[in-house]
Amino acid sequence: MKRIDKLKMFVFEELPVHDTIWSITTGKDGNIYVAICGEFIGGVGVYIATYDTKLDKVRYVLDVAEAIHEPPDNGRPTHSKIHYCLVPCDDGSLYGATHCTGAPIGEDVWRPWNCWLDSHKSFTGFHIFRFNPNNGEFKDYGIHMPGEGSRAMAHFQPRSKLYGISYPRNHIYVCYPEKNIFKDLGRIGDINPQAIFTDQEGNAYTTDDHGYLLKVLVDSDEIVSLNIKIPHGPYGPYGDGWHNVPYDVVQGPEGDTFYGSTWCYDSRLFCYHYKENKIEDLGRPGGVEREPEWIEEKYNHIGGLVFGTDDFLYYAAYLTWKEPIGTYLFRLDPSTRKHEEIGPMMVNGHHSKYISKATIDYSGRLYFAESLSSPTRIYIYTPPGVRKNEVRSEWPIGRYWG
Amino acid sequence: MIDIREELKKKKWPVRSFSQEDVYGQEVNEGRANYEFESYVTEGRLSARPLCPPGRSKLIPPGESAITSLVKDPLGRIFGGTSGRYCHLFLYNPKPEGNFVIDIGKVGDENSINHSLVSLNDGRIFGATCNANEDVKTNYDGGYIFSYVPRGDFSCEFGYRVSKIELLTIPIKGEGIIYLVLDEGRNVLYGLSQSRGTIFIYHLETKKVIEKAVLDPSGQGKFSKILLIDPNGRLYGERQGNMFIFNPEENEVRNIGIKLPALKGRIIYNRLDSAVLDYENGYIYGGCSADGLMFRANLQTKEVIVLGKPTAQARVRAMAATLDGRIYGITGDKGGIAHLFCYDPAIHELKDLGIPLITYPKYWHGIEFDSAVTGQWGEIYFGESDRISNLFIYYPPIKKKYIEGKNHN
Repeated sequence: MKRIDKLKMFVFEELPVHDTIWSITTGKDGNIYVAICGEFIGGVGVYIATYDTKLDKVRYVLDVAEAIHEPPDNGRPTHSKIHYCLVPCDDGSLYGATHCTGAPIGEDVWRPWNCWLDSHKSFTGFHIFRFNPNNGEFKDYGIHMPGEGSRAMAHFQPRSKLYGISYPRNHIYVCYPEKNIFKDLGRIGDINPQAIFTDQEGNAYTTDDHGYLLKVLVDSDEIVSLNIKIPHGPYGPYGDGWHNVPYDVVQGPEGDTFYGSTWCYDSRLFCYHYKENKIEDLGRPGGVEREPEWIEEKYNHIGGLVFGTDDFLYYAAYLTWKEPIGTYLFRLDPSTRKHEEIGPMMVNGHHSKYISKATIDYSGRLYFAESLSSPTRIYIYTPPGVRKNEVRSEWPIGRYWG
Repeated sequence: MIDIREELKKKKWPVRSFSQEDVYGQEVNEGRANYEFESYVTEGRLSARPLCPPGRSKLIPPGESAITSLVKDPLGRIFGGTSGRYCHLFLYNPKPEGNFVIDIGKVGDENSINHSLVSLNDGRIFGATCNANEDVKTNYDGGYIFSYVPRGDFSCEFGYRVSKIELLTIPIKGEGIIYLVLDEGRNVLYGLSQSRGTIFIYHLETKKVIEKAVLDPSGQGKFSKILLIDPNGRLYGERQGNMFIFNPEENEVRNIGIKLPALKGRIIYNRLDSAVLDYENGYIYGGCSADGLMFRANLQTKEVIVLGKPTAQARVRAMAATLDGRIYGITGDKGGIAHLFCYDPAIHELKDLGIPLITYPKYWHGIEFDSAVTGQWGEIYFGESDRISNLFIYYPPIKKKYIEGKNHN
């Protein structure tokens, strides 16, 4: 089987029972920050670790549950996750928001629907916090939506404004942490989008349950439906795009575009030209034209979107129609819209089953976060022409959303 | 440089009960799914209708669609009123030629229709508005009484037609109207105002308004925002913890010696949230706001029996009785998650039925509700009151055959 040159893997051995990484971002210092989560085990809290891109070493920098005074062994559902809610600030700090679904200690499963009415087994509510990994300063902005987790978050740096999506009630929220302002803008659907992202003016975007784009206006916080939807399959009767919310989104090199993947059976890539309000369907992973036949075949997943310094869009896709079934690394040339398979995301016999998100360092190396393995790990890919420690970008790099 | 690695190495980690390599295995998924779906309504059947005819029109806009009033007309159609940025009157016709919701339109510039829709035997609909957005509407003139006269309304494959909504009068200056009931025998409406609890009569023929009583002259709203009417035209309500009766032949509100039940120390927070009048048996079934207690009050003997709490949360925001006397309602506070419950008077059972989740015609959790009405065939309509709302329809389970000498269940 084809191998990917210059692909390596780092395993977070010091957290042996944690099993998912949903958030990965690049800090102003050029280091990679990951939130190491316990999704499928009760009684653990989430940790932030940093990968030093110069030294190729990891430090574990924050026990989040301890910092927000929500100990994971107190019998309550844990703050065991930071979902897509770890975002960088220009001063080198990070905003984060915790998330639920981790079970209390001694239990394997927990769901908010079952425990909403339970004074002890209900989730306390997500904390928004700010952490400076360089000096350890930590500020907890408290709980604003009792019972709920935070699914996705975006940071509009010029106004220090956060946009987020709550779970399970699926509300959009707005927060100015430094001004102690929090607004619940209300429910947008039921499926809970995996991404909310901002344009250069500070407006935020996500979708409703059927993939119709919603825009939150930066000045008024009004939610506007844009009457345009991200691409989906299947088409025809009953093919209405249900569950086709955005999974991963990155800003395009053109500046006025966003490239994204959908969170649905038969996941697809798209390009959104936000100034023209136009969507392009970029097809299935690898540009595969064949319509998957069986339900298992359709169940692909695209994550880990990141633009390299070569202007290619790199992404990772879990494919059920390839042998062996697993995650493969691709890149898309935005100028030709052609997909190219680079190879399987496999190191030392471990073939990834799920890549969530990705980011980039100043030299152009790409970092992909893996979920559904225990302990967790990241993959580090060096695209052709990239040399470690040779600076090819300047701040801001990566993105301001989770 | 910060590094808590050494602390992590000393930690004793919990042990997962299933394989570490199989964190997303089939067994785990199945277990989780079964656990989660136990929390949803599985008794009877739920469905819902979006607030538009699918494929033909847009939804009543998000932020204007919270359903806060429902009424059934003589043809079995359901009229609903919403609240939000603006309020809308809508129609749902359950018959095959309809079976979708039509937005009749906005009611002027008003923003709330709160439990204020009534239907006359000739099909006319009357309603009233109140102010739900106090920071938007300063210098409030008062809520309107409005009418809707269905003339030639129809809905079918090729479209639908509706009539016009007419604003009639502002019965109480400066105040909205938060409840309206119909006394068809006397050809009048009774209404309740929002702040001072003014009970007034609106004569349908002369269009005159007569104020009859004030429940809270201080304007602090210390009364329940609900009125019940019996077949003799007597009104029931609540103020300061006591149920009252108001006979329109007199001008006096009289306490009837029935106190709202509350947990110890919580009487001052308690209001009658929703209620059903079982006139044939002489009972009021009520749900209380402070602690979510359900009770039955005997209008003859004044005895109050607390039936219990359907769920571990406050508020009973909506309630209706199906044709065999079973009462279905919704518990849950604003910002919470609704639960459907049932009280069966035949067997004195009060039970939680779970969270209303529908998967057809779309996948949707019903999280907030504020209105309920019984349909023509015993189905119960519940009005969601969220930023995006749907008209839920609950079909209660059919009871088992009654066998003489044996229990129903």
